[in-house]
Amino acid sequence: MNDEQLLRYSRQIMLPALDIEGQQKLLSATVMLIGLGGLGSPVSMYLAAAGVGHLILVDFDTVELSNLQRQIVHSTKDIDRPKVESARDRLLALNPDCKVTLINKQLDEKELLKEIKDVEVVIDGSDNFPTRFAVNKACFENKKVLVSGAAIRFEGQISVFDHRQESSPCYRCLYNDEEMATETCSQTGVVAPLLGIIGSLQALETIKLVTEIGESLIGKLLLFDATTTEFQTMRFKKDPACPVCGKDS
Amino acid sequence: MNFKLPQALKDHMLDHALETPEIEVCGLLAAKSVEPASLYRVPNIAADPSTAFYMDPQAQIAALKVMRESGEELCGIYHSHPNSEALPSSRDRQQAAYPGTAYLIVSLMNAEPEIGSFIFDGNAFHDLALDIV
Repeated sequence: MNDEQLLRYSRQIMLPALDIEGQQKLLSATVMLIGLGGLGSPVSMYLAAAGVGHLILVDFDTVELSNLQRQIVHSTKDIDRPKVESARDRLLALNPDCKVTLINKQLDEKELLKEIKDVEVVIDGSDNFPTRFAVNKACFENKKVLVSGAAIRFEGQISVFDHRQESSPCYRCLYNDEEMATETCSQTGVVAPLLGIIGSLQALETIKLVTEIGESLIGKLLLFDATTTEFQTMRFKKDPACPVCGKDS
Repeated sequence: MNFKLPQALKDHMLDHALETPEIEVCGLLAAKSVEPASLYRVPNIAADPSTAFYMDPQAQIAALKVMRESGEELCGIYHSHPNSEALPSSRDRQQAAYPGTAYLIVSLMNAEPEIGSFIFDGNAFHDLALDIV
């Protein structure tokens, strides 16, 4: 770490639990973000600012005017630009130290498996079940950690699935219906700061995982109700009948 | 420490277990202030519900939401054993996830249903005295 980096990251290096060792781990980490929308925006900005060395941004969409109420990594001048390009520019302006790789397409199952091979943590900020199921399966098959978040209307949730651990449940233990209809923010609406709260928690969990600090949300689903500003924790174990990680799968 | 279960909730829990005695049923108990006040049935989605239970996570999320909106807190988890004693099975031990929560087991193996009551400390189950009030 050079002097500029020591100064840039000084407020987290001074945390005894993190220290220089933790900062080095962040600088060496490769994290993949699926979706550069409402959740991907705060996640990517906090991780770039915190000094995560390599961010792989995956999105196939372009920025629209109606995104800007909540997708704060993009700006008005970015309308019609690919989201990954718009996000890259903002992240590099925030921290030029960060290496940013762009994947401006919807990855199929095979491509996803290949792309996450060298990634430490995968963060799912997508807005539909088929993508979430595919990301979960790829993470399970590659024994990667998945930080999953979702937010709609006034409700959000986050959990961590650590596929390096045999006992960790997976996303499909929680959402078992393949035909489940997806509600999206563009159809149902969402209050913007809620995405900041859940996205910030996803970034926090990622930093904790990379630096091996504290206890992750493995086997816990944190539910947040923005109307009452209340958190609730639902606990769950691996579903033995899960089609992805269950004994019979 | 005793777990004080209102008679009405005990009856509701037994009714639930006896509705489908051939399969394990399950649900949540919620307290308002200290004593259990509500019972939430949760579908059992285990592959073989005659010998195991796995609570439908989506129904659990929905029940937790109602509890939150009603000012209640989760205080207990119940399930039934159609053909075995009112004691935690090895799978019950593996699946237990809520430390400090009461686990009630309704056994239907004899003519008269029996309720076992336990507290989970994060690692193991311990006997918990049950008072029907």
